[in-house]
Amino acid sequence: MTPVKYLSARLKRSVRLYPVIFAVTVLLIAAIILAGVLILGSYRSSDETKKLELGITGDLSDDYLSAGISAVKRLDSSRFTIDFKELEEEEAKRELMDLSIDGFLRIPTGFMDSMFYGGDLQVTYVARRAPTTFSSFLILEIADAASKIVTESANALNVINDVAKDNGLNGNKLEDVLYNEYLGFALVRNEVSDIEYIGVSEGLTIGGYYACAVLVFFLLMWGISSHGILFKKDRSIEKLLYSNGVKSVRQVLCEYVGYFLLTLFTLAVIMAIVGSAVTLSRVDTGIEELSGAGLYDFLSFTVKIIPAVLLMTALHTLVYEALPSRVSVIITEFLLAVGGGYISGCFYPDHFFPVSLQKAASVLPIGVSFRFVKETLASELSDTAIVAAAAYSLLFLALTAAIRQYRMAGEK
Amino acid sequence: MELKVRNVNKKYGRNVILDGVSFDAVSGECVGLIGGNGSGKSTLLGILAGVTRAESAEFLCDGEDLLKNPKKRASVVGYVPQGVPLFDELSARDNLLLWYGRKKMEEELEDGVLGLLGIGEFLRVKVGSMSGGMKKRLAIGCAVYNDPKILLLDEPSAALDLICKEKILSYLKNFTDNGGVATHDVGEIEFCDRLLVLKDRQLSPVEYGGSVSELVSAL
Repeated sequence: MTPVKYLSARLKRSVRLYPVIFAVTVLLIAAIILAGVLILGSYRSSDETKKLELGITGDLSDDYLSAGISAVKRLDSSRFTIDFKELEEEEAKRELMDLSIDGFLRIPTGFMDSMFYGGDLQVTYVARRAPTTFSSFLILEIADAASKIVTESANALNVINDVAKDNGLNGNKLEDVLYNEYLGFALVRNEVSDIEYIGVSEGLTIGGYYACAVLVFFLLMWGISSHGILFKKDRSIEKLLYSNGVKSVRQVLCEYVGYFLLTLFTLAVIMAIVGSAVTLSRVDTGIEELSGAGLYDFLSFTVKIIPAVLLMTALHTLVYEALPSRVSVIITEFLLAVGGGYISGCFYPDHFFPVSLQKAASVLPIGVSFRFVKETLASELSDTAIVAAAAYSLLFLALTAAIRQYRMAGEK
Repeated sequence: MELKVRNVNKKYGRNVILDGVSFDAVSGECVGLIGGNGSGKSTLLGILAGVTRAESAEFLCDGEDLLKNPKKRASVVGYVPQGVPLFDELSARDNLLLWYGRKKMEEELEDGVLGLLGIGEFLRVKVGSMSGGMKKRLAIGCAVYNDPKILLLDEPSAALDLICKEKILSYLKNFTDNGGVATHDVGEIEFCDRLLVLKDRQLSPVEYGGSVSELVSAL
C-alpha cells in the first residue's frame, strides 16, 4: 500500500458516503439560511420603522448653529422621525458601532466662520456602511439639503445686488464685493457636506459581514455533517498501514487531503448554486459587496478562501483524532460550532463584545478563519491573516500526527 | 528460517506489561499465544509487527533484527491486527486493490492465497454487508499481499463460524507447510505446533494434553 493508494481509497470512500453527507449538509444550510434571513430581516424592519437617531459632534458653540439645530428639532417634519444627540466624537463612534445611532454629523471647529468668510471646511456625515434602506436614503437627502442651503443662498447675493443697484447704491463697488464673496463660495466648493462610511468590521456592510459569518458557521457545522467520513470506529487499518510502512504523518496527510478536497468540492457546489440563483433570478441580495456578482465571482471567492478552508478542515481532523468516542466528538464539534462561532462574531458583530474578548477571539483559530473570509470579501487581505491561517493549519496537522503516533507507539 | 524474539520489555506508564519476553520459532511452525484478557498478547504481536514501540526488544530473523530494518520487516512479516482493518464502504475487490496489483489479485483469486481463503465468493460485496468471518478472511487476504514468510495474527478466528474457521486454518496449514511461521493469539489450539502462555508479564511454554481445564489453570 502506498500513500497515493491510501488517499485514493479515502476519496473513493468519501464518494460512497457523499449522498448521506450532502443530504445532512443541505438540511444544515437550510437551517443557516433561515437563521440568516431572520437576522437580516430584523435589522431591516427595525431600520425602517424606528425613529432615526442622529448624533452631532464637534464645535457646536456658534449661536447660529445651535439655533439651527434647535429649529430642526422642533420642526414637525422631523420631530417625530429624527432625534438629535450631542456627543463627543469617540462616544459617537461607539454608539454608531453599537447601532444606538444611525449616523452622526461632525461639525469642524470654525465651520460657521468658514461658511461666512469663504473657507472650505465641511460638515461630515459619518454612517455605517449599510444596505440601501429608507433611512440611508433619508440621511443622504438631509446631507444634500444642508449642502444646497449654503450653495443656493449664494444666488440671493445676486438679488441683493440688483436691489442695491435699483436703489441707487454704488452697484459696482457692492457688486465687486458681493461677487468676490460669491466666487469665494462657489469656486471653492458647491457642497458643504461630505459623507464618510465606516464598516461594521473590516469595512464590510452588515449584509457582507453576515454573509461571511454564515460561511464560517457552515464550515464549523461541516465538522458534524462530515462525521461519517472522519469518525473511525475501528482503527485497526491504521495499524495495518503502519506495519506496511505508511507511518502516522503520511496517514494523516492522506486523510486530510481527501477531506479537504471533499470540503472544497462541497463549498464550490454550494457557491455555484447560490451564484447561479443570484445571477439567473437577478434578485438583489441587499448585500452591497455582492451587488453585480455573478457565478464566476462566487466560484473565484471560493478559491480565494482556500486558506480558511484548510484551517477549518485541519481543526476538524484534529478533533476527530483526539477524541475517542462518537458522542464526545459530536458534543465537542457542536460546542466548537456554537461557542466558537459566538465569540468569534458569527451571531453578533464582534464589536458587541468587550475589547479584551474581541482581541482574544481574533487570535483563536475560528476568529482567524473568520477574519480571513471577511478580509477576502472586503478585498483587504492582510499578510497576517494568511500567515495565521497557515500556521494554525500546520499546527493542527502536526498535533494530529503526534496523537496518531502516540497512540500507535503506546496503544494496548 | 529461524526466528528469535529476545528480551521484549513494554510498559504503559508505570504498568509493566511485558518483562523480558523471549521465544524462538522455526520454519513451518505455528506458535500459539494464550493468556488472559489484558495479559499483553496483542501488545507483543504489535511490537513484533513494528506498530507498537517497546522499551526494548529484538526480533531476529536469521540473525537480522527486523525491528531495526522496517523495509525488510514489511516485506517479510504479514500482520493481521485485531478488528477489521478494512473500508466498510468499499467492496472486497476494492479493498484488495489497495494492496494487490490487479493482475496479482486475479492470480491469487484463481490459484493462490485469496482462492484458499474463499474470497472469490464475495468479491463484489461491500465490507459493511459482510459477516465477521468474511471480513476476517478478507483482512488476512489483504495482510498477506506481499507473500510474507512470517505471519502474525491477532485473534484470527474469534467469533467465526465453522466454515470460516476451516478456511482460515486451511490457509494457515498451507502457509506453514510452505515454510512460513505463524504466531497467533490462539482460538484453535489443536492447530498449533506449540503453545506459549503469557502470564505475569512472562512467556512460558505450556503443554496441551487435550484438556481445556488444564490450559485454564495454566492461565
